Amino acid sequence: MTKQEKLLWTLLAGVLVILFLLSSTDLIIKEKKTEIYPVSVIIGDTSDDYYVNFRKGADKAAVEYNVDVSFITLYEKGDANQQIELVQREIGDGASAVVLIPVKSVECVKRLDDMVLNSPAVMLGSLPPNDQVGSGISPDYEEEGRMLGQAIAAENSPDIPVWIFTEGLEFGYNRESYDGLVSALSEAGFSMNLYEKKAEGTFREAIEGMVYPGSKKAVVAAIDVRSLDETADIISGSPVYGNVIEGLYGIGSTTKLLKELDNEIIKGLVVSDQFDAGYMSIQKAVEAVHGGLQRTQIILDSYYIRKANLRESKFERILYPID
Amino acid sequence: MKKRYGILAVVVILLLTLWGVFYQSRREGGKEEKKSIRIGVTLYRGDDSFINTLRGNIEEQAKEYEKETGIKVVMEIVDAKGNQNTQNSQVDRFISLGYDAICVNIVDRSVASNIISRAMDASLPVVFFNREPVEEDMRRWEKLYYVGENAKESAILQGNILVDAYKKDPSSLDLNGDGKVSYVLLEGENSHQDSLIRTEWSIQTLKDGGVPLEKITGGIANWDRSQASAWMEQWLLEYPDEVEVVICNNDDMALGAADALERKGNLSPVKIVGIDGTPQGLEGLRTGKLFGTVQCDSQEYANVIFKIAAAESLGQNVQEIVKLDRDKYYECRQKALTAQ
Repeated sequence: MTKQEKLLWTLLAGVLVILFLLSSTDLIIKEKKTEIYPVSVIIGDTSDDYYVNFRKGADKAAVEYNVDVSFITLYEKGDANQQIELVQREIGDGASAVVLIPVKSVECVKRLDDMVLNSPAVMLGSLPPNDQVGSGISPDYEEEGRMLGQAIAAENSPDIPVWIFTEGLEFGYNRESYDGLVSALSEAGFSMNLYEKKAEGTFREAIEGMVYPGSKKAVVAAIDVRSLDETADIISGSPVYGNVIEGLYGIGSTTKLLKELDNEIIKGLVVSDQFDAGYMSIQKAVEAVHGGLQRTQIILDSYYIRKANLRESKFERILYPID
Repeated sequence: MKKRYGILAVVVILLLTLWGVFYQSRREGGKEEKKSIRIGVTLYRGDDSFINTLRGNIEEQAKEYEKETGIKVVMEIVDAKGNQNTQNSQVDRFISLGYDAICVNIVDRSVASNIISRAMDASLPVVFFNREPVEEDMRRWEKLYYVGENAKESAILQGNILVDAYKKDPSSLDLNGDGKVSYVLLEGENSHQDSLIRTEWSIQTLKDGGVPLEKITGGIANWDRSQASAWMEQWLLEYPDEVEVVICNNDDMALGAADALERKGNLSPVKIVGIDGTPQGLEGLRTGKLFGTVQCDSQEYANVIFKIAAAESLGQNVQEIVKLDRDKYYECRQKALTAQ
């Protein structure tokens, strides 16, 4: 074998090694990595059943902004301490940002004020004083309550009392919705009873009590999704209740609630665009990670709808967003 | 001299190759002990009551596990809405986000090979549940599992509910006293193995139990309450006062049949039986809409699905944690429930 041939063989072997290193390892060519932002959405509930449209919006934004979204739910219902611990845990585990849907707004805001957050946060609610919370996104809850009260006043006689059902005024922003509702109904001359869910059968017992002879009819206004969902289930379970309840009204827009509106179990709903809320929460979280977010409070529009509105294209887009 | 250069060149080439391989393996193998696991779950249809119950139970299991072990569980549950392409994209997303294990309630059991190939390429263990891929696909890799209920057992238990009722009092099923029990059949899906087995063995059990049967008609309602309701409404018009028993492949369809009877104001005591024991089905039993159902232990079901996924995520030996049949199958316990 001549010297040239040996050199050629050696070169060939060298080329083969380089080709091997190029194709099978990232030693020479580093794979370009897309930066993915881990964002944790901490829901103020034990499941995300009532957040379907919100999730659709968040998932869409996640695809567009390269975000890896983790939805975190509580172990115990109504546990604000645990929710704050989860915020800390997620940040400690490397979340670039957190989106918080507070289980108890007053308590959560108070706890956040005492904390130093190492990652930015977005609040699904009113913007708290903590500078680390870059954005607040929510409807005007008091206005939603007022809108519901005005609708009830327009469609019912003030002789009929309004029973207000809620899982608890301290949960979420129920207090604000309640204040708005009470103010509108008081102006219209309605009498009211508040039923907070202290025990499993609170709402059922209240409704069953109306069936007895001598009991008067009432309008029921459920100011949060959970209580509205439960009340709709009770009323749809027996035609008798439909005779004693003049109308069921509420705040919220899950697929099940919309179906109940379509079935005329629910007479009217105050809704907001949950898809937009989900989308914007992730969008603002990414902006906050980049440091380009000005502290802002975004107010979502709210609407009062009845069965006839369900087929309007404007509401179809809001209430039944496509994945 | 020339020979020495040759040897030197070979040694350099070998060293370079070894270095490359060592570098790569160190990068891939340098994993720390896991403090969190990520599990993706994709459902064939989130609006199926049984699947929805299972979903809730799997979430509960994840929380329990987190509390007990201190290992954080990030679980994402997505709905394929009956579309296999959507489910494939969901699996691709789980793979691209580096999930540790996935649980798949496959839309079309005959095309599981697609998901299996992707999972094998990504070394991502798969726990199939409720809808069983064909055995040929299941044998392709040792990190494929299936958790479900034995369809034949469900059907036999369902059939026995009616056999027992007939033996106790024939007129409870033979409402018009013509010596035959006239039934209609609501089936799950065309060519779905559970649907076929449930139908076949339920009827066979009734025949073996000595119930004189006469099939009026049947239809495919895709496990769906409203489709079943529509079928039943049509049959009540076509065969008025003839239907004595409604045999359904699941509770949702059984409740759909009950809805149609309720709408028609039918007061004859038509016996409707389902399978699954969903909360809605149990409520139907309580209110008398359903005559019987077969309940599978959905807590155990969810527990096993989660345990396998968690064990695989942590690189543990699944066989030591869950007792599996043929190293990859698990069948949940079932029991018959009646209104009485």
